Amino acid sequence: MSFGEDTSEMCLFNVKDGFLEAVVRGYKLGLLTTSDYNNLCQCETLEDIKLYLTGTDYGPFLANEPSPMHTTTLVDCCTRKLVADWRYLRENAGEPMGRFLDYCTYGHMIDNVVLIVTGTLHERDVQELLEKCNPLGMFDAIASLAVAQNMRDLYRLVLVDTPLAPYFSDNLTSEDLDEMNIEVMRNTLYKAYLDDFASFVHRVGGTTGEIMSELLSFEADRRALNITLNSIGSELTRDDRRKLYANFGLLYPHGQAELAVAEDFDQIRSAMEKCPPYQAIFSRLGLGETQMLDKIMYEEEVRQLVNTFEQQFHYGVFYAYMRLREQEIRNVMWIAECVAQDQKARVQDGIVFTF
Amino acid sequence: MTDSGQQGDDAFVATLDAAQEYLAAQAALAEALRAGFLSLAQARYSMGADRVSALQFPSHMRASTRLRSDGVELSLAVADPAAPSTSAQPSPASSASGGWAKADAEAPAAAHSSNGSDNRSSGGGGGGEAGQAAHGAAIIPAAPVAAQGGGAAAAEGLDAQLQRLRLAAQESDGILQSLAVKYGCSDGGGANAGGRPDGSGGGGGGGSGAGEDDDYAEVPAPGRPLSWFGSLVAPSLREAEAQFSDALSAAVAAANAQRRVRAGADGLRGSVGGGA
Repeated sequence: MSFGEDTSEMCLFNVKDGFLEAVVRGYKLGLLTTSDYNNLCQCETLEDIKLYLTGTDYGPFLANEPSPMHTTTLVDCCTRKLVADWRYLRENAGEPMGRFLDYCTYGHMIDNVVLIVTGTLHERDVQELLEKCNPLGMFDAIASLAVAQNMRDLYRLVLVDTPLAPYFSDNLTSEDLDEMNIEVMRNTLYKAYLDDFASFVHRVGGTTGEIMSELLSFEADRRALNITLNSIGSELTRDDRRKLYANFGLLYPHGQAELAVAEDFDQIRSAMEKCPPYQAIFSRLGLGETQMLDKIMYEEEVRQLVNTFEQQFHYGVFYAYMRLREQEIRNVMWIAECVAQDQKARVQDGIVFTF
Repeated sequence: MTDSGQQGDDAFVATLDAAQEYLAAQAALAEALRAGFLSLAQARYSMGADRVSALQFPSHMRASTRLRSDGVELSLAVADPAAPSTSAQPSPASSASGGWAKADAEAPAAAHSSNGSDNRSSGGGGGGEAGQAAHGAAIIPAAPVAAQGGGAAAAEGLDAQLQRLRLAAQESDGILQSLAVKYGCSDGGGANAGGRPDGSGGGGGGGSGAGEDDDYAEVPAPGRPLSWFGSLVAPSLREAEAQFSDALSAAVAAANAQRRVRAGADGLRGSVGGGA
């Protein structure tokens, strides 16, 4: 960015978006700290966890929950906090921030679509599925997804009027929606979404473009890694696997080409270590240690997200806040599961500290 | 030492051996369940709480593994992936023969235990929400599914059989009848209340629609439960599946060992009473 662009960004950002940036920085101060997690790890029961979280930002959402507590109840209450914050930000956002905030939720929209379609395939009640959808990804005609028999119907009847419409490719098929096709659809939609999001932030430009490009590149690489890991031993062919990788990121295109042909974790590791930023990450893993890989990748993501708050006058802080909250909810869920299963010795395996 | 005394000693030693096997099987079962629930929690951490939950369970579930008795020991019968199925996913343990194949229930394998599993042998506490739901799904009895081209008749046959089994279980405290009612399966001998199974399944070997499998002959073979959560699942979820399979094998081994302990104890009680 040139000096003039920097200056104009600093001078003009606060006119429309300064208030919400201040709000989100206030929300960020409510994230759980290391001492909070240490106290949570000392809890003996889920009731203790609920009692401790009542004294945090989650208090208003947990205080009236009846006993006995369950892990899913804790997760739902914590998610309601994120949803309430996000809705306040969205309702007070101008443009183009409003569009940016919408882009941040399209991933949840894709997850909701897949949830409804999968649940319908398993003959679950649509109302029950709707209640469990992520509120951040809801849209008007979501209940109509249950009538679709194949992907062409899915697009033609429902999704053509949603923000996900551009993510459906021209070669829609009439194949039935079975587990594999749904999984391919999920990852294909997410790939198109990431590509579109990256184009959008590039058009926004400025500090937002710089910061969000890095965050989205990491997200694309992480998804490529997870798709590769999860497809080992599955029916997904190499060509189909390659088609699910995003068209950007540090691994694009050569790293992705190696990941596409990887057959075990060692080959994946070899492909990832050829990229210097990931070599440092994988050096912390022992041989064949796939279980720690999730935590290490989340730690790297959190490190990048926290660093976004070091700069001002950009939209990246909103995306970072959402992802940090989601990581916090994952931490709380992991702690609750370890407490419920009497596996407190393993609780440190899943906590990613933010501050 | 007289022959009868030697026999009594041998029976006593065999009973003690069976008791030791029972304790070992119980410990293996607890360990496998504990590891399985933790792997399930890891899968939820990796894939997301909304992708690994009770919401992914189908409304009608069919058992992929059934309990079979040949009159002497219990064994597991696993659905064959070669049979027509609603899902293309292979079952965890299958044989080349059609229909249901016997799985090895005598040696619960420890090969699938997770690398970082806790080796404490104490009984695990209650599982998490998804863990309890998944464990419950593993033992939900097979729903009477409409068969291809003969749905009503097959469903009625299964309902009638279940009703007969419930009556038989009420009249007898036999473990076979109780298990058959709980898991919605044949007790191996038709509806004979308290009677020994007639062994029509042929020594517990793989059978394709013979004997007690007649009622299930036209029912599509169940798919692999792992496919409920998607085709691209985290490795920890696959580990959880393997660990719960080990737990099932350990449970059957424990039941067999318990039966031998009871039989041995009854025999010893009888010999002591006769001697007195």
